[in-house]
Amino acid sequence: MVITDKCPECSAALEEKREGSALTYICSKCGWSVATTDFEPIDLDQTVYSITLIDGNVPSKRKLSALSKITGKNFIECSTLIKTNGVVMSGKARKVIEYRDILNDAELKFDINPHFKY
Amino acid sequence: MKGNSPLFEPHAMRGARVGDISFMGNGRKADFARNASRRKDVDPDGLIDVVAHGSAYIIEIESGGKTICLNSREAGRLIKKYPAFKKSKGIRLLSCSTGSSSEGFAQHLANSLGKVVFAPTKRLWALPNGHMYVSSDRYNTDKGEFMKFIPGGVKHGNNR
Repeated sequence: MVITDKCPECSAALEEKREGSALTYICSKCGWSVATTDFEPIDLDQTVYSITLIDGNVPSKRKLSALSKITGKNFIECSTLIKTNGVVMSGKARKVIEYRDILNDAELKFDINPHFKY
Repeated sequence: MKGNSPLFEPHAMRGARVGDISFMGNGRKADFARNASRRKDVDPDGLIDVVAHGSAYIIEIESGGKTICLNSREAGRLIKKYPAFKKSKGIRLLSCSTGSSSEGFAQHLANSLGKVVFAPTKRLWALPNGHMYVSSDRYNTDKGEFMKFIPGGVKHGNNR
C-alpha cells in the first residue's frame, strides 16, 4: 500500500490528530487511520538539570511553602536552603518546567544549569 | 486475538490483552495499539510483544490515569512480572525508535532481561489492518527495520 496524504480507502484528505505522544493520521470520512509516536523534543531530552537558589531571596511563608512543596523539606530546612543558596532539585526537563513555574509564582530567584532552552 | 500469553493485570498494565503487553491507555493515545492489535503475527517465534509509545531511551506507560516515562531498567522490572516472560525467548518492542541506538532502550532492556530484544530502528507505523512498517515518515520512504539486540551488547552502567 502506498501511503499518501489522502485516505487509501475513500480518497478523502487525512487529518492529523495528536494526544500527548500519540500521532494519528485519520480519515474523517471513513475512519481509516495510520498511527505512530511523536514525542516533543523536551520529552526526549536526557539532560539532568539542576535548579539552584541564588542571592536575593528572603524567606517568607509563601516562598517557604513553595520550596517545601517541591523539596518535601520542612520550613526550617527550606529556610536554610534559601540562606545557603542550595540546590532545589535535579531532574529532567519536564520536571524543571513544573518546578520553575512554582518557583516563579513564589517570586523565588534561581538558576538552572546547564542552560535551559525551554 | 492470536497468541498464548495469558491476560496480565498488574496495576501498570491494565488494558493488556491476550497476546501482548500493552502500555497504552485509551483514546487517541491507543490508536497505535488498536491498529497493531489486528496484526497477524502476535508473539512471533516465542517472543512477547510489548506495545508502547517509545523513543531511543524511554517508553511511555499509562498508569493510574497518569503518563509515566520509563527507562529500560524500570520497564524490565515490569516485564519480568509478566507470567509468560520466563518461558519466552525474548521481547519484540512494538515501540517507535527503541532500537535506534546501539546504546539505547532496546540494548539496555536486553541486558536487563537477559533475553534478546527486537526493536524498530525508526518510527513504527500501524495501519488499521494490523500491518506495520518502520520508517521515519508516514509515506514509508525512509525505511528502517527491526534490529536484534542480544544481552551483553553494551554494559549496564550506561543505561539512561
